[in-house]
Amino acid sequence: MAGGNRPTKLIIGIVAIIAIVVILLGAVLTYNSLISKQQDVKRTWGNIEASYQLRIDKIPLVLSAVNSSMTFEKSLLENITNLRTQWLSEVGKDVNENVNTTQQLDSSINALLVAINENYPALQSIQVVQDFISIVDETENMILAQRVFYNDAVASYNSAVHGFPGLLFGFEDASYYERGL
Amino acid sequence: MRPNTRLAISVIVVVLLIAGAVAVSFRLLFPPKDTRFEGIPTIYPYVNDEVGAIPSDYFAAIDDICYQIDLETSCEVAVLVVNTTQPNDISYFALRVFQKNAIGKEGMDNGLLIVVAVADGTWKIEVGYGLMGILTGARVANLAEAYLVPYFESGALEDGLYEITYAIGTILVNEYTGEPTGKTAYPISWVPLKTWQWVVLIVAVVFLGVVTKGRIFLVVFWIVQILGGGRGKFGGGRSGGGGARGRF
Repeated sequence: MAGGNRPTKLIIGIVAIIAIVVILLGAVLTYNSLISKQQDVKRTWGNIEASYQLRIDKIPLVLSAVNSSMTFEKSLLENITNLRTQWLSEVGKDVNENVNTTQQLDSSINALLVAINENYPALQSIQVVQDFISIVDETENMILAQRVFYNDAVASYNSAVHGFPGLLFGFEDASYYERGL
Repeated sequence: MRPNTRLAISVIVVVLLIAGAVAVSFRLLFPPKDTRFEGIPTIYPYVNDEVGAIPSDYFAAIDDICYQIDLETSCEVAVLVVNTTQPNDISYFALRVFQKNAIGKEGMDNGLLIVVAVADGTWKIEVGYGLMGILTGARVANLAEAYLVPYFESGALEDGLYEITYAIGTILVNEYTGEPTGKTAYPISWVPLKTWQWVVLIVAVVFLGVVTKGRIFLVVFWIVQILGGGRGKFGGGRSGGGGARGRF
């Protein structure tokens, strides 16, 4: 069968075309799936942003109310102010950066609430502080659930990004939101 | 290039293409296993007791309250008693149970799940999106503190579950404004068949009754018993993490 006869070539050609079609179809489906999962990540993060916005809105009022009393916590208060500004600048732009900033804000807000509770209990009587604490409490469960949904979306997306053939498209990993208050 | 060499290259290319096609197909046909619901139970309308903490008369009474709530408001209230939610936190556990079982009517998200972990001494009331306006976190926490926690602490969990379910049911009946669909998980609370299943069953029984000249009716009772082993499902609702949790 020197050089292969015509039927052999035909079969090879048909098999090659079918394989190419399957690969192209798989590539298109995978790309669409990646885009869809990426949108899920953004959408679920958007829900967290919406809930988090309630805390963000209250921060300036809280800080101005406690600023004069919390003399030993200046760096913490400045840090919260800076993180808040950074958070606002990232909203709707870069999810990974915003996740990172949110986690830092969680830690700082937590530290602030612990400091008020342990070292400045008198501040708890200020209405603005009470409002902030109750907003943190009320949004905690919601953010916890939204974090679960967001991390589900990230797990699904990252798995597709790292799996074959998704890894061929070179999508960037999404960050998990590891910690709330 | 010699014909044999050309053929060999063609074969290699085709083999590689086939391997690529197989790999792509395999990934699409067999996506990674979903591990979100590992260790999360499937529950059924309406009361689920995995530890035998609820006596049968209370079980039936609580189930009936939930059925009435479903009938009058279309809201689906589920109760789940487990020994422990470990290794998961009860909030995470309740959210996953809610998500897996889709409590509440689809599109209305009007489900509510009461979870008690007896050995952990924890509780969580998970509220669906559609009920978060009525049953806020603070209100649910107050209800639990008033109706659930004291009974559990005095060793009468069944009373606590009855009271909290009744209190929540009263609120839903009085305040829920979503359109009742008139469709409960079961049209008849104590027979776990949906409307379409009843229609199929009745048509089949009538048909077989004619064909067998009535002999089929001798086994109808047996069939109902067998079907009684299966249970219905909740309606497809979602939770957004509303509700409250606590420790006894």
